[in-house]
Amino acid sequence: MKWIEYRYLEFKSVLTKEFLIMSRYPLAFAFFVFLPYMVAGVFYGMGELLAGPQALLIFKNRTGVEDFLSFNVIGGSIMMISIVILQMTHMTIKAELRNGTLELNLVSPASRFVIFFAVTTILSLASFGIFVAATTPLLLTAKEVNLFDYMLALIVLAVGVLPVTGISFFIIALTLKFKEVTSLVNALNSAISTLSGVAYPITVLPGWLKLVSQLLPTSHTIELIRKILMAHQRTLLAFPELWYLAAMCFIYPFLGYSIFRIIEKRGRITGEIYLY
Amino acid sequence: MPLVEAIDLAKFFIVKEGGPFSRRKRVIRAVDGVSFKVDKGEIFGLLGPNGAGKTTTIKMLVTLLIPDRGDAYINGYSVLKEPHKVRENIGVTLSVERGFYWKLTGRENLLYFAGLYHIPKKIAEERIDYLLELVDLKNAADRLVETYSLGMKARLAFARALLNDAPVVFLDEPTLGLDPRSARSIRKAILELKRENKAVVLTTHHMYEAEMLCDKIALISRGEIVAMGGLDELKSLLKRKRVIEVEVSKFIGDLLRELESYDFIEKVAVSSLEAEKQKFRITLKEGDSRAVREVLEVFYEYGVGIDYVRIVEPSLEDVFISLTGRAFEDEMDRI
Repeated sequence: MKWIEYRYLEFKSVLTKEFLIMSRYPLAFAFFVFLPYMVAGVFYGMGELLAGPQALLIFKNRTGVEDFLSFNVIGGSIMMISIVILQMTHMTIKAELRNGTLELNLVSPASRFVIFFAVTTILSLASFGIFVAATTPLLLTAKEVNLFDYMLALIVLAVGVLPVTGISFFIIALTLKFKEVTSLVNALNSAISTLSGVAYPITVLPGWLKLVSQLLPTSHTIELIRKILMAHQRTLLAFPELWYLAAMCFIYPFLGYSIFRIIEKRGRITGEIYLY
Repeated sequence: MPLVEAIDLAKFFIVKEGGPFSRRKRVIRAVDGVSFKVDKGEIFGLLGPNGAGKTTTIKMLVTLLIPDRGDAYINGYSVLKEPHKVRENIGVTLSVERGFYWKLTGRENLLYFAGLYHIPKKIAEERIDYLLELVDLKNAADRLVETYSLGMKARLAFARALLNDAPVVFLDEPTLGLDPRSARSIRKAILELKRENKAVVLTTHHMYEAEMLCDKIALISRGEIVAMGGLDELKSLLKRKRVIEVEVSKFIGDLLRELESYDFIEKVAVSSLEAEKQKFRITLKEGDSRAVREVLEVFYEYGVGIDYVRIVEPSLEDVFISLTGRAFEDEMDRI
């Protein structure tokens, strides 16, 4: 009982702290809400430039997608989730190192897992907000507004975010070890964006890249949410993507936290995790 | 049972030197063979220059670093085997300037750390009110920490160390860089901890602070404790030895070498003042009555103008110089 109470107190404290800090930078996330539209605009522009006025038609013929904007905004807003969680996790840990607060967190009896999981949780919640803000215009302009589908999409999103938080433990470990890994995080996010089918279906990728994309939780999340919101398919349990995602919910956090523990323990021996 | 017991603690760091194409690894002996005990109601000071190994020792005791050798017990719990229990029994200040969330208020910072120490909100709020009063920050409690002065941050750091009312408190350079008023108020609060029967381990490189606060002092140099004991005990190491302080306007290297060659002189330490001014601190061997006059004659022979001379009571620095052969400044230069 005490164990649960302690973990709850730790979790609530980190959540409150991160929320207060975020609330003092009110415009920090505004950019991410508009980005999916900007990305869709860029792809549309490039398509027009390369294929002329027939661009949308060619896209439809090759991919079977009729609603180019919804397709891109859904993909883009899920891409934002990975960008926000991974990049902001790195920035948060970097700030903790620089400000000397990390040591004081680690010297407390609080669970390391809870401390860092709470950090990624608040970022997940923020990215949920971004997804809702970015997709609401689509919902409002849709011919058929279906709140049930939307709720279903949010549930899938919640499942899809968990493996990303697992990857963020890996980012935390890298930050503790190498300090400045912004370029690596950007490279990872670029790979996720390219291979998750943000602007095109994964089916157009070559065979081996298709295989790699199956390892990314975002690929399955995007695919599932498009099925729900664009094709109004509700037989969720019948989709293999959901089961892949469910497995990743266990595998990624376990792997991420294990790597974090190894680097943290090594850092307590060498003293390097407290340097910046 | 002592509340803090360090047994043969040692820590070595591997540092990389040189550019990207000529990287070399070097082993630095940060702490080697440090042992001491601190009882309830006792203030224990680790006194030494920067880089002597004080902070590394503290970091091992608070479980941030794993010792390469030895172990330590905090309230009976091993830092190696029961780090989690150790963390429940300590309050810590590692830096007075860093260690806060700048975009949170002082009160919010304390509330956050209270949660990490498993203090329920209602109890935490009462405790925080009491601590803010204690460190005289009540009026600034709801301001963002980014607007705090260094002195205010130091007082807030001190309040944070007391949040969980732990039996052992570690304070790493608690008055570093503070103005005299803030430093005084922190020292007063540290003495209050003694009255509350807590064991306090503090590091400092201020002689005065160690003399004023500590029941027991360990002089630490290059990772090793060179002497340990009460203030009088340490000073008795230089009992009946005299220390002459001579301030001169010109420094001549040969003069220093000549002074060191006299058999009635134990140690000579030189520190720079402004411009060309130098201060010689000369420790004479026991019971040599001719010494003072002879020392001054050496200065006259070299034609060095003496600004002032005085015979002083041996300080902790003299004990340090006598034991290590180095002044605090020399040690700092080494780093």
